[in-house]
Amino acid sequence: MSRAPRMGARAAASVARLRALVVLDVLSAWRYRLVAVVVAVAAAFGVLVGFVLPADVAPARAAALALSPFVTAEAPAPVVLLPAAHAGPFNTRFVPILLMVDVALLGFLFGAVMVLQDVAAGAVAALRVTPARPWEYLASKLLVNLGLVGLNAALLVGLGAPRLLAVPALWSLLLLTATGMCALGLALAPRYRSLSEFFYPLAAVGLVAAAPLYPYTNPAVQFAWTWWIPTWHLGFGVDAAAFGGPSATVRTAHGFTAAFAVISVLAALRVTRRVVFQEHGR
Amino acid sequence: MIEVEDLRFQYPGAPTPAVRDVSFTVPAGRVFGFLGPSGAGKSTVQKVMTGLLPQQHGEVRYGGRTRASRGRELFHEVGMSFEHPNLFPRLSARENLRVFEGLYGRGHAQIDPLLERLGLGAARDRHAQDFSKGMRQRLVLARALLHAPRYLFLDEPTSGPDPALVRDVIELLREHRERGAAIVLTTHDMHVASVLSDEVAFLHGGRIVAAAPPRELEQRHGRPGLTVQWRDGETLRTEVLAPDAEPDRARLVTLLASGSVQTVHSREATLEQIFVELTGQELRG
Repeated sequence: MSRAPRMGARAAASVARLRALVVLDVLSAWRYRLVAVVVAVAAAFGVLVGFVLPADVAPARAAALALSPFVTAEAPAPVVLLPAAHAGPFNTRFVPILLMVDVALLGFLFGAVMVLQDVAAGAVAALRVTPARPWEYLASKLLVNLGLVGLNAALLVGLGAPRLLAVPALWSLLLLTATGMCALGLALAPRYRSLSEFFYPLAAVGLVAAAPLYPYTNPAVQFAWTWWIPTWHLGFGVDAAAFGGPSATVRTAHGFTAAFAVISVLAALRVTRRVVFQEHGR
Repeated sequence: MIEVEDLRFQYPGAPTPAVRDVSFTVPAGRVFGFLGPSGAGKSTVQKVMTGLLPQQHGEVRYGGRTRASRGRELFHEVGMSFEHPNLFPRLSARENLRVFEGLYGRGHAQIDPLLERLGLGAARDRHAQDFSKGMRQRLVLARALLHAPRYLFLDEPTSGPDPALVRDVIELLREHRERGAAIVLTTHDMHVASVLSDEVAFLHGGRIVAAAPPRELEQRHGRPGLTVQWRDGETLRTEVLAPDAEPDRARLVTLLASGSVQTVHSREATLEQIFVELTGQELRG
């Protein structure tokens, strides 16, 4: 067989294996009720944003109510509000916050859960003696997790702030950040033997990922180090794209989250090869 | 054909190698059985051969080519069943097999007949987590046989407490041997090893201490004997006599002439007795 048809056959075989692994991960996600969790969380947040919180609140009041749990109606001086602050409806300003929390924790947690389940069942050993490649295993987990996170975000935004469904930057930033967070989970989880052992990295990553909530909800206080956290860029990037903020913020957010996604995926691939598939080189 | 040459493996931190100086060949259409107690290194040999453990020393060749040179494509031709049934617990029996069919790039035509064959037809849509140990063992075996592999590795395939499983496994493996599969069988079940294996190897302390066809081992190491039951008045007495010893032969003739002999049974050496004789250790350690 000449080179081109051989490569075509290899690609077709790879796609078939990837499809089998995706079916496996979708079935597992369904049977372990991950889909139910995603829908329930998104519905609760969507209802909160769309129906419980008021849309029309005076900007000054919004600053006091929504953007900081600490300030009163009188914002502390000196106040350094972001350029786009208070530009959008009061309730929809919560969407970036919820996306930051959802994407960070669900993406990170679900990727890890899927690997830990495979490890606990011993099924990884069974997969290692099949033609499945490490990158196919990783790609399947990433695809299914992105599907779960996408479902979560679509429900949340669709129920809570339908007009944001048409903001492309929201989806591109979500895709990049979710890819990075999920890959981070897939890179860390194989070093642990169970979900209970994984509690500490989960808590640590959760805390770090949630840190940008503070500068977002309290524009008067900005910590430079939070800029280095991917969820900062997701939150402020979505905020700027959705509520007419500076386009530079959106561009920077895309650049940062793209770099984060690439680095995380490469790290996850290395760990999948070395730790999950234990490729020894001989 | 599988060729193993001077295999050695030492677990990190272990004071001695788990496996050393292991060499053997499994031609196509033959079953090579590994016998040994727990911890003898049987599973380790299989894991190194399939790449589940790193190959620290020695060489493994499949069809004349080294395992490393075959890459992951080799696994199109390898089937492996594990001692501990490592299934996807929340997938049904059929779904478990479908995933692996997809990985081997084959259709689903073999799944239902195979499940029927192994007595899992009625349970095909039940989740694996609801199966008994014997049923899980059957499903793991079905997964290993699904793509009719050229090289088959079976780690304690009959360790479940199900006698029907043992019968089915023996029958199925004979069929796969007939179609030309090279089978490496790890077990501490002497019955399975002796009826299935074309050659058995006793593994002790990580080394092969004897390797030959079972019958040859029995002849080489066995001590022939006869168990004679004879009546002494109201009492039934038993004697074990060696037909190759002159006094015992004379004693047997005397007993037969007396007309008191009730039963005579031949005593053949079992693989377990041979193992004990060679190593001084029980197989079920």
